[in-house]
Amino acid sequence: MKKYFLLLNIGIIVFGLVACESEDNSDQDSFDRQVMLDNLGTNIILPSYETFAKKAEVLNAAAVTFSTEISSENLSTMQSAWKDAAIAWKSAEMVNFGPIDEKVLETSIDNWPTNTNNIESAVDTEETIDEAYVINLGSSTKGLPAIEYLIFDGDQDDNAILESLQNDAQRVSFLVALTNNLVSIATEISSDWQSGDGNYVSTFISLDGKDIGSSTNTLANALIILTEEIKNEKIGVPLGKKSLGEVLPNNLEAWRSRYSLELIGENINAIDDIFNGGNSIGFDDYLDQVEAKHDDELLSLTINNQIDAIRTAHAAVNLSMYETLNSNPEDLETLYNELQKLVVLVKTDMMSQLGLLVTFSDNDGD
Amino acid sequence: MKEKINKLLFKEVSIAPLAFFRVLFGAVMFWSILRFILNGWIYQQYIQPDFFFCYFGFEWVKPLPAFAMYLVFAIMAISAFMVMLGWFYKVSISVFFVLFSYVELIDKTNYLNHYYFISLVAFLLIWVPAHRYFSVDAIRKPSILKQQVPRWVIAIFQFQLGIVYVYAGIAKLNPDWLFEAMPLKIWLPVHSDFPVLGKLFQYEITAYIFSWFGAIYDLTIPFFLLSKFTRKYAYLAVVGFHVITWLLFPIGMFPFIMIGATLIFFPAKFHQNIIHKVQSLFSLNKESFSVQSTQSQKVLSKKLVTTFLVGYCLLQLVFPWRFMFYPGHLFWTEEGYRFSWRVMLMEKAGYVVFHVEDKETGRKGDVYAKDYLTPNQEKMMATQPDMILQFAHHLRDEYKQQGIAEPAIYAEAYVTLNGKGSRLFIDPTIDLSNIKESFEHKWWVLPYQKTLAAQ
Repeated sequence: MKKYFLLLNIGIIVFGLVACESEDNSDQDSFDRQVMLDNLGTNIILPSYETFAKKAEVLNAAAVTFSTEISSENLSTMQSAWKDAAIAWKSAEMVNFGPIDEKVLETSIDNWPTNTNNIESAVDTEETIDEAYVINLGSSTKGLPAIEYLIFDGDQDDNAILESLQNDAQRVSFLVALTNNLVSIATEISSDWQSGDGNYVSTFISLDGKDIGSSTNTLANALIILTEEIKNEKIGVPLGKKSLGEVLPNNLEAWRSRYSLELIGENINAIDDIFNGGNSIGFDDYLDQVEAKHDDELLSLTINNQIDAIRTAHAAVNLSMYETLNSNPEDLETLYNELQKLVVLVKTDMMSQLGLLVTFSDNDGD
Repeated sequence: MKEKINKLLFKEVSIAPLAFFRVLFGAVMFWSILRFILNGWIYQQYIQPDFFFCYFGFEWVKPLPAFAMYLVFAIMAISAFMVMLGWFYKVSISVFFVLFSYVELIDKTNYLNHYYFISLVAFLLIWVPAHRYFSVDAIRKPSILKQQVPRWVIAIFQFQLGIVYVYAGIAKLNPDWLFEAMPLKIWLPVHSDFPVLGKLFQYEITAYIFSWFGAIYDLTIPFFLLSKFTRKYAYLAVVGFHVITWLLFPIGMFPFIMIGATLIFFPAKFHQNIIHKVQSLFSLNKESFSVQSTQSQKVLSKKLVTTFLVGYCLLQLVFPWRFMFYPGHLFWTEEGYRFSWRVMLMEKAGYVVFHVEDKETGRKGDVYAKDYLTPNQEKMMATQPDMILQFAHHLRDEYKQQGIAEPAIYAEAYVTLNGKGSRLFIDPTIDLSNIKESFEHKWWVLPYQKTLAAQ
């Protein structure tokens, strides 16, 4: 009797296998993660690094020009070059893995809040200030936030900035050295990511599994981390979420330049690009391929609708975030809440339906 | 009746399967602990976290300082190795049981059914003479040598394994598993690069076949292993089943534990043969374990043994059903979910934000769990109400320490279960700081809604 039951089991499997083979397998082809990674790596991530490297060079050139002729005109050119570089970085910021991680360069590009005391004491020196001098400094005194501190006044008083630079050659040298260093780092990562043997794009594409350490898993986690960081750190903290309602404008990212909102906008663009793969294959197609639904709706659609809702909330903020914190905090509250909904969708639904792990450490389950 | 029980439990049988079981258990445990240490998990799970989710009633179980945690694991590895060798067996298996259970009780985050299984088996091994054959103890002191043992010392492990399988099978008898092939419908397609079978994983029917086969396998395999006619094939199925699950899912050592442990269903001859082969390999005299004990044996009273066995088995049979005392959807509330052999049963993920309110001033804020917990703790907490409550209490205490006399803590949690869209999990209007921890029904968990429309 038991024997027959076992045979029945085996029969079920065999039947199942045969049934599968005979089923029409027209458009049921499995999702090729390599194609997605190729698109994301080659068409989204690499160009964002390349753009950042270019913008860093423009900023560096502007700083050099400024150092030869200190004028308000050259200051404003430099300021807008800073804005372009910062925005370019925000589109690459999500990619916290690969060369930038291995070489521990992320904090040298963008470590905020910057440490103004350390910057002042770094400037206050008899030594020659050049790139070599900057390289040896801690990351809280360099990168985009440190440059911002040197060229943007917290009260938006450009004269004060001009004054601080006019009478202090070391300060100007430091500024130029910081932009030099930024160019070096940006160029280095960008060239690490170029396609070709031994470069990172090919490594990125070849890690096409879905386990911990695979590019799909790492990138999905990077997307979650950035979304949470925008919500928690870039909006939540200034909004007073961690200080029982006390707003903290000086905890905004890029508060001196008042570009916080623009930078977040670019972060959102990057989330959109990685999720949708630009105009090509991305996580949205992967979700569609596994027929991921959010109840009756395609999950990819739910997520895209949520990204749209975030864009709408972002567009509804009229003034700089610095001013909005005091005048219309509810606008930022709305943006915060819309971002939270996206966090839920990507961190629970997307990861769950793609069978990815919200963690970087290997762990047993059961 | 009495005679029947006597025969069932106390009939003298060969000790070989038990001794062999001991060797395998010690070896697999030694390997597991070593793997745990080498993966850096001691740091990740017991040193890095600032907060631990203790078990209700076991709040006194605390982690030790870093060096002591490493020491605990070192001793655990050594004791497992000594269990394998049968060297100072009674001491080493007791030490292993105590340390292993201690470590598992520190933090719910790390709960795994197979850890519970290991604790139970280690506990049972303390009471059986697994070292009186094919062991260092028996070589050093031939007087303890035994050829025969009462049948129960082997049957109890067969029973325990039977419980694991059958209850895992019963747990699969739910509509999601059987009629929607969930969660396998989610888990299988992403393995389309799996050798040979991978191509089939994209078909829905494969998930159904795996679901049904898995349920039937779990429910029936212990019986096929018991029967001498089907045993060989059943064991092949055991190996095949567990190897496939090992390749597909991150379930650690569990497959190997089961592949090793189920050998206890084989007849004594099988184990005897292997033991003889090992003996000749180590050029031990074939006779070295063949003398019968001369030592007058302290035989535990049959009545005592019977009482213990009946109690243990009843507990094992009844305990997994406690979920029936709770209303609501078991997978959603997880009330009575643990310690019940519900293995790889659901795909659940969540996200939770805590809202804090100073009731005196009305000031409000949010707490991000990631600022306090490891990613794994955060992940496990987000889907388990009792852990959310524990963390809410932790926050209450922290805020009180910061001088806020009356902090209210609310949890806004979203959970997706078996591919259904994420939805609100905990009633966000309930102040959790006042809710007592208990085994009572957690009424503040929102009822599970299969369709979102009602929400």
